[in-house]
Amino acid sequence: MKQHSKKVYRLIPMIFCAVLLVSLFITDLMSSYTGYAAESGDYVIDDQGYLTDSEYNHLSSVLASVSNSHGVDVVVYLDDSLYGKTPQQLADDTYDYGGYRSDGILFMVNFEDNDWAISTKGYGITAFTDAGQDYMISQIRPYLSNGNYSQAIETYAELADDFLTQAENGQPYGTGNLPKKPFRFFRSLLIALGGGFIISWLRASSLKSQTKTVHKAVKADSYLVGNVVLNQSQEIFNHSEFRMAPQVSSGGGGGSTTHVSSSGAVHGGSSGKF
Amino acid sequence: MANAFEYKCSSCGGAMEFDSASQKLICPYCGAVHDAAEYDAMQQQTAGQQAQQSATQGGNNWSMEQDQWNVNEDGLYSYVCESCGGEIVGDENTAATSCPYCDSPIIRNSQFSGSLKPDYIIPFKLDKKAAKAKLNNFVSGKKLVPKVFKDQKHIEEIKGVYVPFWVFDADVYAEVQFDATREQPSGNQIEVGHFDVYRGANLSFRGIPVDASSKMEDELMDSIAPFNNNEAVAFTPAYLAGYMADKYDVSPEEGFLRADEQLKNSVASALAGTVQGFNSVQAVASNVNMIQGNARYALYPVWILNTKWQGKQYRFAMNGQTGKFVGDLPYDKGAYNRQLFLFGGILAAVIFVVLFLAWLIFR
Repeated sequence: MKQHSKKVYRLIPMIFCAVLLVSLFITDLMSSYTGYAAESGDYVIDDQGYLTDSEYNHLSSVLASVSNSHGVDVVVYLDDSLYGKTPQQLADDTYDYGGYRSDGILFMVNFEDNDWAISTKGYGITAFTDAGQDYMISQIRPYLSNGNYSQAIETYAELADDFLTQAENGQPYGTGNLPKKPFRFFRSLLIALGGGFIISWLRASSLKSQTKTVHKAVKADSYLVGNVVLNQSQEIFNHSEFRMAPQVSSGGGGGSTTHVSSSGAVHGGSSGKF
Repeated sequence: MANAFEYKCSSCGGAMEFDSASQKLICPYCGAVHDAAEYDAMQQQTAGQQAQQSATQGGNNWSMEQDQWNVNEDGLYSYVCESCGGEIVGDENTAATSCPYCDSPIIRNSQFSGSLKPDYIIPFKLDKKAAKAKLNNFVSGKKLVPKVFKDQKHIEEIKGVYVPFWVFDADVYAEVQFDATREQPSGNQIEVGHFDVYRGANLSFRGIPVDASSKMEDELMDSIAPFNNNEAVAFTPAYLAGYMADKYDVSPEEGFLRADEQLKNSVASALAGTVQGFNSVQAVASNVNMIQGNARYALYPVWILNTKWQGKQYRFAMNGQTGKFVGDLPYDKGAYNRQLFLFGGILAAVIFVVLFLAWLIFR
């Protein structure tokens, strides 16, 4: 019995070493698999240095504050490669293997092909509905398109805070219940000026055409007498071709649609281009 | 050389004119009224009697040929007015004019004899006063026409002209091939079927007018059409009294080229209209065969008004039968810009306010 115990005690360091080796191997595998080398729990993942140090520190602090106040991780991930994955897969995997809480949201901006993606998990799926994500992106995308990534992340943090607060009050933002958009002064002004002057130009052109009443006759329709009675009428099929039908929107409903990531976890999310 | 004729009043010898309101020849001096056709018939009868009398007496002059046009070195034709002795100048196509000194109407009968005789004429129904009034109406409604043009325009010349037209009738058999497409959903795709569509029909055109005077701009004459041929009457020179007229100098063959182009365009669109149930229809080939066609020579009534403004000549035309008035007008670039920017600015402000209110209500 004692001999048997000794054998077991001798095996413990070996098992420990084996577990350690396997853990290291898996960690290394995960690191190469997901394509980033972030420290576990980073709220801002920016290994390529798209943000300045001060921006990085400030945004990390803001996201950490939001995350901790709601108990939901709010993460942003900037990278220049999709590592052969779809944007949604990369966002999901980054969250799953990044050591984050089971409730959270990750916003990925990827510069390989100018993609963005949102991955939500756990309570994040509830708080960030499909319609809510559309709204968030509509607010963030202008900054992304202009290359103002810091402001884009700042906006993302503010919106995430607002969305989580709203969800905690029992009414997550969704279809028919979205945040009040600010009045877009310059966009409205451009629409007004554009619309006003296009209509005015059409009217002025019509007034100008009134000064020109002399035109060459190109048809003799007024002199055609009687009805057109056909004595030949044939329609012969020649060939056909196919083209894609335009995509019809399925219409928005409330709530979030979900999918399963490579780790087997259920995620919500969305992706697109900026 | 050609003969000319002045329409003298049988009562007082004054120069008679055709009155568009009564459709009669009227003497503006004594008020005598004559039917145009009857007057011409009477004049011809008188001329015939005089010719017979002259022949009997050994003479060979017909009274209407006593007044002759002389051709000078420049190719211009001149004629000495019987009424006042003034010289009237015209060209080889001048058919009816008036003396610039005494305003007596002069008609060159030789321009309307034999093959030159018009098949019919549409007499003037609207007079000079109506043409002037139409010009004012025509100009007053146009916002971009310079105000000074409206205020200062003065008609330099206004003349009633019988313009020679070739009027074409045509019966054609036309065949047109179309490439037509029909779309229908097929799963998540759309199937676009291409069909060769053939249409054939007999079509008849009646009265396509083509300006037969090279002096008149074709586009101007096109623009005052159509004329109502139901009101046409057999030609008699008396209708020309008091108006200008030229004989044709564009051959029927040249005129037909223009009519044919219009006709073919109409055939294509008429047959395209019979191709129903397709998403797009495009004519790819057409064949128009003339079954029968004929050209008639007609004189149509046109008021021509010339004005000059800022050194530029503006010419207007009014259909003397229907009153249709056309003519390109000057436009004020400043007024155009004012209309564009003032209206555009007001509209932009309204749209902006509407957007703001919509945001307040629906945000």
